[in-house]
Amino acid sequence: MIFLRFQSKKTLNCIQYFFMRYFILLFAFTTAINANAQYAVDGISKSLKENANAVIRYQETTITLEDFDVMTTYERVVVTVLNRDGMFAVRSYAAYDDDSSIKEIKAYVYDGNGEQIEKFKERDFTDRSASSGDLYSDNRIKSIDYFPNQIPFTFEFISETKSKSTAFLPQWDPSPFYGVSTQKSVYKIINNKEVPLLSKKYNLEKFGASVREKPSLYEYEIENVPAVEQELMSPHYTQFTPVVKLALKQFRLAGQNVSISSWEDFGKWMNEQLLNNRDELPQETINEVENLVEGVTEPKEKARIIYEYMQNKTRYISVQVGIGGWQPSPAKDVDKLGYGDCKALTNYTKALLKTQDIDSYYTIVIAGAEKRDIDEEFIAVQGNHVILTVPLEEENLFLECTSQRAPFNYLGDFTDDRKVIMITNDGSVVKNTKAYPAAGNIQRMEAKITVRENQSLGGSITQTSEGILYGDKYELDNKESDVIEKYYKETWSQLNNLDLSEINFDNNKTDVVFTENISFEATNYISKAGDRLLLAPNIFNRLGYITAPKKERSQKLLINRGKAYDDSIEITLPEGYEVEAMFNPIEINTEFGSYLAKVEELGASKIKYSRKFSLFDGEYEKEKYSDFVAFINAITKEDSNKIVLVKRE
Amino acid sequence: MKLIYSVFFLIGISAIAQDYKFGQVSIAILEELQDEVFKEVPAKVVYRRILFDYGEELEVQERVKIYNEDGFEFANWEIPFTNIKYLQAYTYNLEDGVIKKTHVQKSSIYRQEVQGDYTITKVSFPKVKKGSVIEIKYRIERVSAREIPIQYILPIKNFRLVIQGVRPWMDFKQNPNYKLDLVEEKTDNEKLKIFTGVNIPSSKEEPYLNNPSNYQGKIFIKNKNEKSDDEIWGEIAGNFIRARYFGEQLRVKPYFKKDITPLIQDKRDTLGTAKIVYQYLQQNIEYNGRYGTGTYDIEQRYKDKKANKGTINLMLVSMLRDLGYKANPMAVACKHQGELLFPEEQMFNVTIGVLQIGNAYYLLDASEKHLKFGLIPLDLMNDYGLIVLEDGRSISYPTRDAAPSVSNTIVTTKLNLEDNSAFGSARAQITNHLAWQYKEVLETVDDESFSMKEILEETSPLLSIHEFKDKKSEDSDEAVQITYDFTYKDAVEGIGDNLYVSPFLFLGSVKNKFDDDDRELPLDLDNPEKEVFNVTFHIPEGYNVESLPEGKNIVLEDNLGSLTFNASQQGLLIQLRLSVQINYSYIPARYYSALKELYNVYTQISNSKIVLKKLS
Repeated sequence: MIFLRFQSKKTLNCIQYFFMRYFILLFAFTTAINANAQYAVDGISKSLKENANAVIRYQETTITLEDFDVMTTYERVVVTVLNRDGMFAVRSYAAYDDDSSIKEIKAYVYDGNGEQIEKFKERDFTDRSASSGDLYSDNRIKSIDYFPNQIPFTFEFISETKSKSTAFLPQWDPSPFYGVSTQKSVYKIINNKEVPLLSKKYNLEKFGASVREKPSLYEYEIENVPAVEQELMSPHYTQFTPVVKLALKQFRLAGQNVSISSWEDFGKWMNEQLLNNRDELPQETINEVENLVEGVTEPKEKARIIYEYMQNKTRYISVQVGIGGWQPSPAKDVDKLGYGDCKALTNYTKALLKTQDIDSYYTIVIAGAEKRDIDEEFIAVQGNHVILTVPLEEENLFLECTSQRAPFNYLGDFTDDRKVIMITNDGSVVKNTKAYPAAGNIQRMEAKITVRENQSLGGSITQTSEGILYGDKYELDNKESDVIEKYYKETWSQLNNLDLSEINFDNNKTDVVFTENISFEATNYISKAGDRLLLAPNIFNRLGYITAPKKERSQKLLINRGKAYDDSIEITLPEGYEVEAMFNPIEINTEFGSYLAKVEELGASKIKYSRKFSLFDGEYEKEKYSDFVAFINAITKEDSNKIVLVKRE
Repeated sequence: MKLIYSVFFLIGISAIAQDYKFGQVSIAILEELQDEVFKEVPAKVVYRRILFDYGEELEVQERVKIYNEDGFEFANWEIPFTNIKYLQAYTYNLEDGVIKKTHVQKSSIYRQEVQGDYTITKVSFPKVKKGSVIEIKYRIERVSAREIPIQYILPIKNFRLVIQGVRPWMDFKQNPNYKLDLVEEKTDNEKLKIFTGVNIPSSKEEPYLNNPSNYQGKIFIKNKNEKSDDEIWGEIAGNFIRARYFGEQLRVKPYFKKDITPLIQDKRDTLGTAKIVYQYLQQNIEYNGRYGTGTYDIEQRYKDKKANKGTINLMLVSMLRDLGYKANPMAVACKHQGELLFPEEQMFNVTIGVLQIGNAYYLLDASEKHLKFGLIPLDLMNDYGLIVLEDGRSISYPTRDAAPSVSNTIVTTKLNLEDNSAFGSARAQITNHLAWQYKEVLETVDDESFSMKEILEETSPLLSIHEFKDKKSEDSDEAVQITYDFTYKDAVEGIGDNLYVSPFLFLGSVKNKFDDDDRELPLDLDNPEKEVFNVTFHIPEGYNVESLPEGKNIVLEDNLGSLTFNASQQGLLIQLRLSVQINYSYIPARYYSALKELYNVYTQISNSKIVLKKLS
C-alpha cells in the first residue's frame, strides 16, 4: 500500500539487500591503481567503531537546481563494512524513471588498507526494473551486487542523476541506519536562480551539525555521528537522529508547474491538478448506489452501504505509474476494471459518496504501526498511503479503501491516531485520525480444560477481541486450516503437539468483535515430578521475557496503544488427583500497567485460574525503561507459575 | 460395431472439449462455493491445457476459479516469457443469474522490461470478486524446455499436456521422487505425446526440506538412451577423465613438489601425512567463493594461490596421488542443483577429493579453511557423487554419511535458595560440522557481536553468563571448547514445602521441534547430530531428594537414533546424563513418527522436575 516514490533510505536498502541475495555478479578484476590510504580501516576512530557494523566514511549529496524545473543530483557515498551485518549499508545503486536519467555511475572497492582492489564502470552496472511486488511500475535502478572476498572493505559509490521532476528533494539523513556510524556527511543545494525553498531541521544542534542557508546555497555538514543501536519500543529514528527535510516551494512534477506555500495551496494543487475531473462515474453505477441507499436517511448508514459496495466490487493492486505516483486513476476506470491502488480506490469511494451528496476528504497518511505524524510545519508532499475521511457532524469517519475485509470505519494500527493531511474542498488541513483508547482494546477468554495423568490436556475456549486487538485477529477468518493451525501453534508455543479439533470464528463487523471458538488437544503439558504433577494453570496467554538492557537506554519508551486481557480458565484435574500446593493471588501495579492472577479451588477436582493484565499507553522517560523490563519480566515469571497435584490418598 | 464405438468416442471427446471451450463458462462453476476435493483452497485451476509444439510454440490455456479474497492474488498474472505473440483473457461473473463476461483489455496488460531483452507480461484481471472465474490463453514463440513443471501453488482439477514435434531422441519421465497420477494417452503419431491428470494437488512445502524442487511434480524431457544407468555413469566418468578442465589437470606434471616435500620429511602414519597435505591446501590456497568442477590451467591457479573449489580439490588429489595414495576426484551436485534423478553430466557442479585407505573412504574438501579432515560442506551432502577413477571406471558413492556432530555440555551447579537461582560452571565441546560452522561464523563477524554467549543468553533470558571463553584452534581438526560460569534466575520453584528444579536448567528443549502431525517428504537435518548433557547438582543443605525423573532408554529401528537418560543420587550430588543421537542427516518420511516420538520423550524429560524436600 506504500506508494511513495522516494522511500526512506532504510526501505530502499531492503530492496538493495534483496538484490544482493538474488543476483550473482560477475565482476572484472582490475589491477590496483591509485593506492589510496585515506580509506584504511585504521583511520576510523574508536568512537565510530563502537556498536558499528559499518561506517559511512564520507557521504556527499550535491543538488544543482538549474531552475525550479530541472535538477541534477550528485552523490558520493563511501562506506567501510566492518562485518557481515554491515553489508546492507553499502550504497550501490541509482534509481531513475521516465522523468529522470543517470548521467554518471561508478564504484570503487578498497581493501582494509585502503588499497583499491576493484573498479566498476557504468557498463558493469545492471539495469533492471525496480518493481518489487508492484503490478505496474516504471521505476528502474542501475546497481552492482558486490560480494566481497574479504571483510573489512570499503565501497565507494558515485552517481549523478538529472531529473525533470523537482517535487522531491532527497532529505539529508546523515545517520540513516542502526548500527552504522558516520565520519562525515555533506549536503548542498546550489540554487543560483534562488528558487524559494523550504527546509525543516531536526536534531542538528545536538550533533553539532553546521548549517548555512542562503537563498542561493543551502549547506549542511556533520562529522562523527556515532552508531545507534535499535531499542525496543523506541521512537522512529527520524525523531532523534539529525535530519533535514527540504522541498521547493515552486516545483515541477510530470510536466506541471506547482507553487505551494501553505496547506491551502497544497490542497488547491491536489484538487485542481491531481484530483480534478477524476470523479466521473457511469450512470449505471450511480443508479445501483441509488437503489442501495434508497430509504436510508442516516448519512453514516449510507456511507457504510457505499463502503461495503466498494469493498465487494474492487480489489487492491499496487501501481507506481502516473504523475509521480501521486495521481489516482479516474473513478470510472476503477469502476470498469474493479481494481486500483490506494489512491484510486480512495478516489473511487469518494466519487461514490459524492453521488449521494456525502462530502469526503482524500487523506494522506504515513502508514505503519509506529504512528508517525505528517509534519505540519513542513508544507510539502509527504506520506505514503491514502485513506478517506468522511466528515459527519458528530464525528469523522475513516475509510481504509484497500481492504476488502476491514469493517466500516475501522483503521486498526496501520493508520490510527496520527496527524494526516486531509484535502478539503478549498484547501487542506492537518488533523488526527481516530485513536483507539485503551478501554476499548480488550481480549477476553473463557476456557474449560481437562488435564490428564498422561500429561495431556484438552478442552474448549472462547476468546473475543475488540478495538485495536480485533485487527490482529480478523484476517484469520476464511484462512485455510493449515494457516490457522500454524497461527495457534506459534501463539501458544508452550503447547506441544497442539491439535485443533474444532475452529469456529465469528467475525462481527458491525460491533467490531472477533470471536474464536476452539476445541483442542495437546500433549506433554504437565511436568512430572516423581509421583507429583506440576501444572501451570495459565495455559494460553503468556508474556515473554525481555532481555534487560546491557547498556544505558538512550531513547524514551513508547507504549503506543493500551490493551487489556482478561482470561478465565476452568480446569478439571486428572482423575484421582488433588491440589497439594498452589500459589497465592499475585497482584502487580505499576505506572505501565497492572496484573492480577489467582487460582481458586472449585470443589475437589476443579480449579479456576483468572488473569487480568492491562498495559497502559504512554511515553516514558528512558530512565524508566528498566522498571518496565522488570514489570514485563515479573509478569512473565508469574505467567508460568505452577501448582502441585498429588494422588488422593 | 466399430462405427458405434467411434461415435461414442467422438461424443465423449466433444463433451469434454465443450467444458473447456475458451470463452465459455457454466453457471455451475460461477455458483460453486467450494471444491469437492480441495475444500478449503482460496482458488483452484479448473483446467490447464498446455499445447507444446517443441521448439516452436507454447500455448497455454487455463481457467481459475476464485473463491474468496485470499484468491485475489491469482487474478494478478505474470507471464515470464518475452516472446508472447497472442494473449486473450476474460473475467466471468454471475450477476442476477446471468453470466457477465469481461474482456481483459490492453489497459490491464502491462509489459515490463526486467533486464536487457527480458520482458515479462503482467495481467490484472478486471472485475474480480468472490466467486469470479478468470480465463487466459496465450502463445509464446520459440520455446524449448527440458522440464515441464506440472504441480502449481493451486490444485489443478484437470490437466492436459500435448507435446507436438516429439523428436526421436526424447524420453519423457516423471520426477521419480514425486510421481503424479498422470495418464499417458495412446496416440498413433510418434511425434505426439499426451499426458492428462485430474485433481493434481498443489505443491507441498514442509520444514527440514533440502530443496523443494526435488519433490515438485514435473515431466522431464530426457535423451533417450538404450544403455543402463550404470553404463551412462561410466560414460560420464570417461568424459571427466578425458576432459581438459578435469582429467587432464590431474595428469599435469607435479607443480607442488617443492612445497609439499619439506612438509612430510619426518614420516608419520599414513593418515597423518594425508592430513598435512590437506591442511597445507586449506591454509595456503585461497578459495575464491565459487564452486566449479575444475580449471583449464591448474598450475597457474596454484601459482596464484587462489582457485575455485573444484580446482583446489583436484590439486589435493594430485598431491595425494603423487605421494602414492589411492586418491580420486568425485563429482558432486550441490543441494541447489537438486538430486541426481537421472545420469547426467551437467548436474555436477563441483569436485571434491576422495581418499581411500584400506576399505575406508574419506571425502575431502580442502577449500574450506576450518573444515575437519573427512567432512564435506553441508551443501554438498546431496545424494550420490561420482568417484572418477584413473582408468576411467567410476563408483557411485553416497555423500550424506558423516560422523555425527557432537555437542557435549558438562554442567556443575549449586542452588541459591535465597533468590531461587542456580549458579555454576559449564564446559562444552563441539565437534565436526558444528565446530566448522562455529569457526566460520566467528571469522566473518565481529568477535564481540557474536558468540555462543549471546545465543545462550538470548534463548534463555533468565541466564547470565560470565567468564565466557571459547577456544577455537586454527587447526581444522580440533573441536571447539567453550567454558563459562553462569547464574540462572528463577531456576528453583518453591511450591508448598518442596523445591522443583528442571533437570537440565537452561539446556534441553521443552518444545518438540518436530511439530507437524505427519510427513510426506524426506527430512534433511543437515548433519547427523549427538547432543549430550552431563549435569551435576549439589543438593542444598537441609534438603533431601524426594524424587528424580525416571531413566529412559530408547533405540530407534534401523540405527536411526537413540536416547538415553539416567538420573541418580550419589551422596550429596545428583547426577543426570542425557544423550540424544540421530545418526543420519537424510531421513525418509516413514521414520518421521519414530523421530517425533523420540523428541517427545526428550521434551518430557526436559519438562520433568527434580523434587527436593525440606528435612524436618
